[in-house]
Amino acid sequence: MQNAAFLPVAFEVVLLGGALIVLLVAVVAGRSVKIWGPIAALTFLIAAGVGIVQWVDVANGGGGLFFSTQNLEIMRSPMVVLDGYSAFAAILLGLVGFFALLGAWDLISRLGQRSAEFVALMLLSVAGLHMMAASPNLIVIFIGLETASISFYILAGFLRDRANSEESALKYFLLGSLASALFLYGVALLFGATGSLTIYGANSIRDFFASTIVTEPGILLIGMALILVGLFFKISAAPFHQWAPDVYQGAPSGAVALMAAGVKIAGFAALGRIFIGGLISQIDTWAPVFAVIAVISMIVGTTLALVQTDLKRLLAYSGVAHTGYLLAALLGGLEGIPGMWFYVATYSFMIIGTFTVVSVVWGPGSTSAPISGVRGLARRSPEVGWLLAILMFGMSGMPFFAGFVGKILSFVSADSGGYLWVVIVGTLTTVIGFAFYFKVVALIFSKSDSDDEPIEVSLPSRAAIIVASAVTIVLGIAPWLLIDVVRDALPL
Amino acid sequence: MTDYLWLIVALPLIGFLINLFFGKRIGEPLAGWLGFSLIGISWLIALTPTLDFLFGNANPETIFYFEWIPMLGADAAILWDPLAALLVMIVTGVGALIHLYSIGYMHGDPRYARFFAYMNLFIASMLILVLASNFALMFVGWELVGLSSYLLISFWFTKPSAAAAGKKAFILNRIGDWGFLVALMIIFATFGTFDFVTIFTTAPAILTAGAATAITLLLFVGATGKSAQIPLYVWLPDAMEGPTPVSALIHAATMVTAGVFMMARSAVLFQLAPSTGVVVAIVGAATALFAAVIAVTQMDIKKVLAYSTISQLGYMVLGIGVGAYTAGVFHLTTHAFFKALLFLGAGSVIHAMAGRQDMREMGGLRKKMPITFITMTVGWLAISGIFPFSGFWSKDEILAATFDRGGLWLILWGIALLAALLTAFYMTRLWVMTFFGKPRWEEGTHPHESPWTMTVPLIILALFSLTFGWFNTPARLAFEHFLAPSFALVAHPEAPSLQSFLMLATLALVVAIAGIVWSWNRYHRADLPVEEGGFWKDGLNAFYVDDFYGRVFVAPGKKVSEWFADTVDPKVIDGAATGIAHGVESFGDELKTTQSGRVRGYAAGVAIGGILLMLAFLVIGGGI
Amino acid sequence: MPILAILIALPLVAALIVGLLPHRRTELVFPVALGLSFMPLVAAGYVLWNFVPGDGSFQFAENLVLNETIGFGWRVAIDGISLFMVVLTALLFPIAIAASRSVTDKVKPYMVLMLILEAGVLGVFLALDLLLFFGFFEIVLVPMFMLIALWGSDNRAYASMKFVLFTATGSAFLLASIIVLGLITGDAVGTLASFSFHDMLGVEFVRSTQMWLFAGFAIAFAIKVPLFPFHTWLPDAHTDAPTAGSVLLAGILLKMGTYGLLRFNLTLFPDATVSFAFWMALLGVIGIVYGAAVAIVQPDIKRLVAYSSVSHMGFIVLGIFALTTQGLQGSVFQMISHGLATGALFLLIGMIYDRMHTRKISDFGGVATVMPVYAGIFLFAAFASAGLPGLAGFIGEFTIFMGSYLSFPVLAIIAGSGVILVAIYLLWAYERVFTGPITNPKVEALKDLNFREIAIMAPLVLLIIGLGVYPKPVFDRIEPSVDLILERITTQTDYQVPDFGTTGEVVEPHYGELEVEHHEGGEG
Repeated sequence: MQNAAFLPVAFEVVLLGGALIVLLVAVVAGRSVKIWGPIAALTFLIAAGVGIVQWVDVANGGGGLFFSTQNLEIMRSPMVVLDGYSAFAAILLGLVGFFALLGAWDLISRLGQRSAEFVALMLLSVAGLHMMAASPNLIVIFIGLETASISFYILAGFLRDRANSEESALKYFLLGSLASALFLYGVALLFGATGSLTIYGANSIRDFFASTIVTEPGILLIGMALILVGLFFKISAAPFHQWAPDVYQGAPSGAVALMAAGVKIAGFAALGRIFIGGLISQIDTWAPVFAVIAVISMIVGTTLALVQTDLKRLLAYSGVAHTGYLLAALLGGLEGIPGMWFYVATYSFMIIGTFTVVSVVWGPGSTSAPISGVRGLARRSPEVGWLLAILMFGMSGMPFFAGFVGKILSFVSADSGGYLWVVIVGTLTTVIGFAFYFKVVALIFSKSDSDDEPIEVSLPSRAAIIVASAVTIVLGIAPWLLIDVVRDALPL
Repeated sequence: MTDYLWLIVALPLIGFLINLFFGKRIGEPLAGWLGFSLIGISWLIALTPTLDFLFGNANPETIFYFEWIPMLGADAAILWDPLAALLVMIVTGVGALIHLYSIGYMHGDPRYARFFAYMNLFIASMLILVLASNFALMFVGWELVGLSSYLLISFWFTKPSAAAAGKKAFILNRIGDWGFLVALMIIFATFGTFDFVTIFTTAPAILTAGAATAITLLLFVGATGKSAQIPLYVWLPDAMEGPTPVSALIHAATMVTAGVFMMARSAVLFQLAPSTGVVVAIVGAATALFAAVIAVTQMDIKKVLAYSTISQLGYMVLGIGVGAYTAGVFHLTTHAFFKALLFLGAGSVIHAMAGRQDMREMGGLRKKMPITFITMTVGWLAISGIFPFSGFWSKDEILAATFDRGGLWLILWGIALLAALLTAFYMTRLWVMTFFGKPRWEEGTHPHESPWTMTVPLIILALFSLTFGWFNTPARLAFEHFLAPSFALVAHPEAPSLQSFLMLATLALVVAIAGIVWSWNRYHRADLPVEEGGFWKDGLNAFYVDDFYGRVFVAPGKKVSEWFADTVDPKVIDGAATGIAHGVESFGDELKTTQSGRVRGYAAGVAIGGILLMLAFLVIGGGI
Repeated sequence: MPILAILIALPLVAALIVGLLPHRRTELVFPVALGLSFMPLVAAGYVLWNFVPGDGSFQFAENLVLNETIGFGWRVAIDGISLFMVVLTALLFPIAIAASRSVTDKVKPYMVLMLILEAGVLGVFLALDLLLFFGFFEIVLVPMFMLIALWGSDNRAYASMKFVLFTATGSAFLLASIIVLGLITGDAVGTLASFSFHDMLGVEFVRSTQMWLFAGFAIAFAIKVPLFPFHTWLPDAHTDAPTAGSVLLAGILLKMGTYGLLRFNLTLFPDATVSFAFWMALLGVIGIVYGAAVAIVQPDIKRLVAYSSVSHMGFIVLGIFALTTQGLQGSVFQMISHGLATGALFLLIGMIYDRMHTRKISDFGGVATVMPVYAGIFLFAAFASAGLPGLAGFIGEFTIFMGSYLSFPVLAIIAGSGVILVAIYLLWAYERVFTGPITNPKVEALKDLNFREIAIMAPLVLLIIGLGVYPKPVFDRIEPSVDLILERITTQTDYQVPDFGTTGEVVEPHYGELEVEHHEGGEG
């Protein structure tokens, strides 16, 4: 009676449950009580716990395909897959959600009665994100994508009183919908080409390629291209990245952390699932495209980050560059998956930590963060100053910080896939990266010309920043702690 | 008796360290006595082993102490042979006397102890140079004497001229050292070692004429630096900025002869390169004459002696060039005595004249300072080559050896003879202008004889200047036999027959006397002849060689490095690097413009990107 | 006992302790940091003491695989080449810290960064896993960048960024090459990748690969050395770095480049080495002459010494690519002596800068009158760096000359002109700063060195003399290791070390008949 199994969907269930509880309490108990934060935090932790249970279950051979329906012809396929891949995504997303929540804590506590919706949306979005990683079915993946995206549209524009917040939300919505539409069209074409919507199971896409030789690949190719457009947009790979800086800047700092980290995790999870899980046989077709997009993202991301004067925009562009490095990891095929996981996991923590710092320094609701604001940070709050420096070095790919290990893994994978030129561009753009990351660091410690009043940091924010920095350093010095885990986080 | 030879070097070194660190506390005059006595002891230690050579009781030996640079076969070891012994005797003997002299001369100098520290350092370095058993170690001494000479020339460093002179001396020496260094490279590549004995015993077998010529020419380049030959001699006159004992010890008696010593030491190699001999001889003769001409016109008593030193060094180099190594070394020895004597005498005079050095402000000093007068008279006769003073014998051997080569060499002989004439002339000029005529002193100068510490060295040196020549008369070539073991591998020019010797000797003597008489008549009169303009002016400015070097080498060199520093480095090289950086930045700024902020634009971007992506897939996947 | 791991860890422990000192008690920081900085020196001394001289292979090896799939591990060991780099590092850091008394602003982070820097540098010289090596090689940028950017002088922002970008650009190629190398080696040993130096020694890379990898490594190291024309970051970095920064930069960090060339380029890519040898040597020689020429006219004493470093490092590169045992040994020795001499010069410049707050040569004059001790030590250091015989600098230079002449006579002769130029720029600078009458009233008021400053200089002075007079113990440890490298090159390629010193039959000097006549001339 495997079909009714609960564990495979437990993660989503828990998060949805948490969201419901938050909303119910908000309605029933009224505006006075403000316990949404704790509830959401607890929910995220439980979800992460569920992820761990799934991981253990998979390790004990409990993994597999679930919820295969018989009635609908086109839907004769499993809806959920439980493997190391999805389980790891669950753990990661749960933790990311939790720390993003901590980072957003100041914002939430400031939002007052509306905070209930905020945390509920966070919970929902994470649920959606995980669906992208945990489903073999392209339609379900799309649903997850939309669930997450719609929540993010709202979160981006959550501060209605702020004009550019509204604007960024609208931009995000319009462009995001366009991308989703293209993704969906791609799915349709892929279905048309292969007669299947699912990656695993009976007459899946895999089986199709295993059994038949494609003579007229046109539709198939365009389908793949369109699916990629959608996903590249979500993970803000150049040239589909232009929304990112505007949205990052416009959205409240507290909310950006989850968007930045979560979307990358889920987006790459989906990329890995579809193209390495399903279309690995077509690697010679898509890998060159990945390589080119990776290189473009590296170059565009770093060069544009170099000339930014706003930290949030800088982070957005550096995020584009990181997308490039992550894509490089997939060039090695299945062997690149652990590298991708390591990279995206460490990146998520670093970006959450950084955005938490941003919301600490410029205020949780801040929509713009001029870099000059970090000047003299080390004096205003030595702790935050040093931690931000660590995070910057981490993202810059300095050895003995997590970012470096991620880069190495992805470069090794890319080179083993035969893409040395991607590696060379990667190492060189890393140097450009140094230019702006080190610039920030230098500012942190240089004398502040104007205000030296100390910054007080709330406990949750501190926790988020400290943990993020700790992860950056620990996984930089002892990377095998995570490497040995992600080695098993492979798609079925 | 050679067990304690290392002490010869160690003692002056100890003296250097003591006076360097505790000199202030030891103070005057004890610091001076310390320096003097240590060198005296060194002399005593070296005495008996030297006498062993003299009496033929000993053969040359190499005394090994420790491996220095293993893979170059360069050991810290002494090659103890007559040549080294002789130089040790000169350096420590004359050195000790000059130290004694300095005790009085440097009286009252604020850096009294430091002076003796440097002097001891020089003695130690010079001893390393002469005792070295291999070229590498010799090079060490070679450079260290350069250092101590630098320190002593610019001893009064608050005087810009003194500081500049020291620097000039060191740099010009370094130019010569370049040649020496390259010679060492070739030697190492050829022999695989620096050890003298190995090199000199194997050279005839393995050294090609070409290699020999290259090596010896480069060694000679080194010699032109140290021994102040054309074209590198210009540092020596400036070196007179140093205290007079320094000029006597370093820039007359010992250091400047290092080049001659080095070539004598490498006699075997020079013998294998006859063409080098020609170059060496020509340069030597030219230097001898040119310097003598300049000396004639100088007014500063020390400058006269400086140029005379250059001229005399020319003689020695000529001797080496014609293959009369013994003669060259012999002249080196006698010159050490009488030139030290002359400088110390001049110092005594300057001391008496309260530091003034212009001979036009002297005159009539013979009654005021009789000892100085008498001893300097000996020196004057010695250098002028008057029988039976030492200079006569040594200079004559070189002239004879040159003459014996016959043919075109006679030109060089003529030049040398002419230089001898001028030598007699300018030395008489100096002697007369200083000691005769009516006093031309400035107001308030009360000349007086110097203290005994200064006069005793004068007397001793005078004795040697008089007698040492008898040590190697054509009748009894004791000196040559003494040195023979050092030149055992070199063919000796057969000694000139007695009548040809007598002929040449009388000729030289006549020339010398002629010079003296001419000079005496010209200068021994009530008022000095006016010597201005034309030749005298050019001569006084050393024929503007310095300015020439300045214009041709220094100024352009400075221009070049300024061009490097101000144009090439910042603009070209660094410009390229920073150019890339700026390129990246401006590229970023370009991209920025695509970030319009308009949704329409972004949507277009997504669309275009999508289309390109589809095309890419179709191309790669073969869909079209 | 994993002494090398301890050696690298000790500075970090020290940094931790210093970092945990109470905020109020800033006066504690200097003494504590100084005291703790001796721990690595002790450990290094232990290694030096227990190092087996005759053995050229790696000693004290530690080998702990941390990740099989990408073949990364804690692989450290020491041989005759790295031994002295390590000792030099452990020696110069206490000195540099002691010289940082004048640092009062943010003194605690300053010391922490210094100690982290030490750990990084030690790692560079000890790592035998190329990823680990790269890690240390790159991480050194962080503390050095901070030291320049936060405690530097006027132009620090520019200088520090320039330093980072130049070096990092080199490292970019280095990293790419290392990854390629690792994957090729991995194929050979049957893993995805392996970064173990020893595994790589087992692989003979095809010639074309060697050329590319050599280039990748060489660019990184050439920038670090710095080799002409990659040197322009050095003067800026030196000029604006704090004293200790300059000392360590010149004394140790530059050696990371030459060390890398020696350890990796020569050993791993013998074919490419032989093909590139002349061109590398040529760049070295250009650097010698060019650096010296530029140094002559520098108005800033610190810039002058910086350019002199360019010149002196050129000697090292020339010696390395002469590919003769003399050249290689001389280069390693020159790394030591240059570290001591140039380190001393930068220390001295720092001491006068603390007093005068200027580095312009024209602001000085007649300093020797008021600071005789300082002048004496400065002159000593100047002559040491000018390669005066009897001092350490000479041994290295002289050996390099002899060694490189065997391979590249013309280059060696041109390089020889360096001995003239070095005398010109150092003595001219000395003349303008120390001699002549005092013109600047501020000079009048200068105080001579105090006890602490003399104590800082003393060990350097003694070592410079000691190594100059008796270098044999050092050579005894260097020789076997460089000979191993040379042997590897000669066996893997058709390269033959130029032979020298052809010996012919010996002519025996005969004194015989001379002795008889000797007695006549007896009384003389």
